[in-house]
Amino acid sequence: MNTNLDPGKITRLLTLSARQLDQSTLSALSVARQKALERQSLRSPFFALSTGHGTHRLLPNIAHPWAITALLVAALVVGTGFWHNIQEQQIDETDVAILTDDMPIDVFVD
Amino acid sequence: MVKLSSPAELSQFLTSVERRAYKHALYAVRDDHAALDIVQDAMIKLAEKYGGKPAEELPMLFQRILQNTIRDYYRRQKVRSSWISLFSGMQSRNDDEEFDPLDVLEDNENQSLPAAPEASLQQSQIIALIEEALGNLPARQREAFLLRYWEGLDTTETALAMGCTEGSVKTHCSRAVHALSASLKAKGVELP
Repeated sequence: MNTNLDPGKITRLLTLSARQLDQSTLSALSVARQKALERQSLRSPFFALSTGHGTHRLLPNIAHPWAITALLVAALVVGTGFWHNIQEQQIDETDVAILTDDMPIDVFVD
Repeated sequence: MVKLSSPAELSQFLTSVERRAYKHALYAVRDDHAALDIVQDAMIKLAEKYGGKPAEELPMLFQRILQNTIRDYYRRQKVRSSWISLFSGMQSRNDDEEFDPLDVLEDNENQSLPAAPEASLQQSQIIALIEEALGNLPARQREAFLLRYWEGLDTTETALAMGCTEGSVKTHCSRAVHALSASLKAKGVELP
């Protein structure tokens, strides 16, 4: 089949159509663009090496010192509580074994 | 040394491509809300992952991300419709029925709208018919046609954006031009 269709003519009309988008679509596209640009500004200094101020920033933005401190304190509290709980359980079991005269054999064996 | 794109350059780039990107997505999915979501996702992915790339690399990267996002949409739709038909027994939604280009034509002739000049009306009708013909092309042909001729990418760049060989791009483009030509000829459309 012989075609004499000029793709350029079609794309010119498509460009014209893209210029005639309604206002609500243009607003939505603008919002989308702003959201994308916000993401770029959040992520760009991730491992940035600053040259203007002579300081090198090696920690990512998300790793704020207070957040790391809070995380460590929380882990310490949970760990201590867990360890106490295990200790109490072991003592309780030994007490019960002594009272019921049901000590395991390995207690008496070297 | 490679110059990385600044936020201003990225903003300028996104502003320059957003309308065409929206149209790309709209021709592909035929749903304006989904098309807007796709463009937003593509913009965010570009800014997050490649926002610091040199400005001259942004067009290719964006086209590739946009095409992948459109494909992801197709996959999600396919999975969703298969689950819907499996569990509810309802017919899957047929998006084709939602877009009727005749509506556009009828709307343009609606007397309640402000009167448009004759030439402008004819042009709008031709655009609607072209967009309908584009929407009816197979996805890969449409993708190749738009990237190659509308975005102005060369064959190599189009192949990279589409994730196929240059030979496939040429085949898709040739078939797309033939199909568009036949479709417009059948409707008696004479391009200005």
